[in-house]
Order: sequence, then C-alpha cells, then structure tokens
Amino acid sequence: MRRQLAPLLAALVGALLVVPAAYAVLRAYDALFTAEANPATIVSQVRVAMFWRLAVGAYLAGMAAPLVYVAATRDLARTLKALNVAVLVVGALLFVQGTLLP
Amino acid sequence: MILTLRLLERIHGHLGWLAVAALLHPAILLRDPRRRALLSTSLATGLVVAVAVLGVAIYPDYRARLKQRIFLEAPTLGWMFERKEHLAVGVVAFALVGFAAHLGVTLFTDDATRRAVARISHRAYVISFVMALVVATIGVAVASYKSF
Repeated sequence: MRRQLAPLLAALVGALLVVPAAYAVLRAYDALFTAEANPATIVSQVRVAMFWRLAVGAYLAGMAAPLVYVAATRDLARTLKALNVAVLVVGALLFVQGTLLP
Repeated sequence: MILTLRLLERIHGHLGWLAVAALLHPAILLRDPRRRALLSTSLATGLVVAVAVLGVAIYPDYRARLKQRIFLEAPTLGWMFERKEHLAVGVVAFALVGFAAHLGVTLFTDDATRRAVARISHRAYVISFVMALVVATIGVAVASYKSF
C-alpha cells in the first residue's frame, strides 16, 4: 500500500507546484505582452484576473499530476530529485514575477 | 458592512503576521530531514490557509471600494499590493507543498527517497516563510495608508 501511495504523493506535490508556476507565467505574459488598462482608470471589472490565473493553474495541475505519477512509478528517486529542483525553480520564478512584474 | 470589512481586514492582517511566525517554525525544524513536526506544520499550514480564505473573502470588496482610489492617490502602493497578491499565492502553494511532503515522508521506506521528500518539505516551508514575510510587510504598508 505504501509503495502505491508514494508516487501519488509525488503527483500531488508536482500538481501543487504547477499552480504557482502557471500563475507566474500567465501574469508575466500579461505584464509583458498585453496592453493593460491603468488600474486607476478602472471603476469596476467583472473578471478577476487573479482568480482566473489560479483556475488555469489548477486546470494545468490536473493535467500534470498523471504525468508526474507515471514518472514516479517508473523512477521514484529521479522524480523526487526533479521535484526538489522544481521547488526552487518555481519559488524563484514566482518571486521574480511577483516583485518585478506586478 | 464597512465595519465588518474593517474587522475582517484587521483579523486578516493580524493572523497574517501570526502565520509568518508560525511558518518560521517548520522552516527551522525541518532542516533536519529526520525530524517530524506534525503539529508545527499542520498549525502553520492551517493558519496560512485560514488567512488566505479571509483574504479571498474581502478581495472583491477591496477591488470595488479601495483599489482604484489607492491607484489614483498612491500608485506605488497600489502596485505594491499587486505584488502582495502574487506572492500570497506562493505562500499558500508552498505551505501546502511543504505540508503534503512532510505528511508523506513516512510513505517512503528507503533513506534516499525519504531524505529527498524531507528536503522538498523544508525548502517549501523556507520559500513560503520568505514570501509570507514580504506579503505581511506590504500588507501593513497598504493597510496603514487606506482601509475600508
């Protein structure tokens, strides 16, 4: 049972990491490549960009989870090594985007 | 209504700083990969999630009542608040990663994989703590300028 749960945990961690990664990429894309209105000129807006980015991130996380699961069942140690690196990469990505591209 | 929002904002801010303090604990404890800290991690993560839920609850009113005014009067603070939102996503995500990894450490039988998962948990809590510190500091700056 424990052997089966280990790849599932790796998949969960991988999926959770996809959410902030997707969030950072989407926001960076918006900040760099789309012409956004000055927030000072917006009285009201129906679409909440933050929630939208989180929803897209959750969707992508759902797609990534099975891939991480398959990778973990094939080579657990290597997948965990990749996830260890991914934690740092995603953290740096979100930090850079969050501070430099608000 | 305004009083309720003001109260929720204050609770959000105070619990936010408590969450920063709570996140520091697993960030320090989990340096040792053999260390188990279930109470510390669950309290820190629970607090982070509670603060985030409160933040999401008052966010629509922030957008409707405060955002434009802040951007008109002090755009630098407005952009700081945007930074806070982005980093807050990271605080929650990394706290959840840290908690999931810490809970799952026992699923791994051999030493190498166990250490790898413990390292994921530790790294995630350190990142979550650093981001939470920035978020809470910006939160104070913005809230002391304008509130509901």
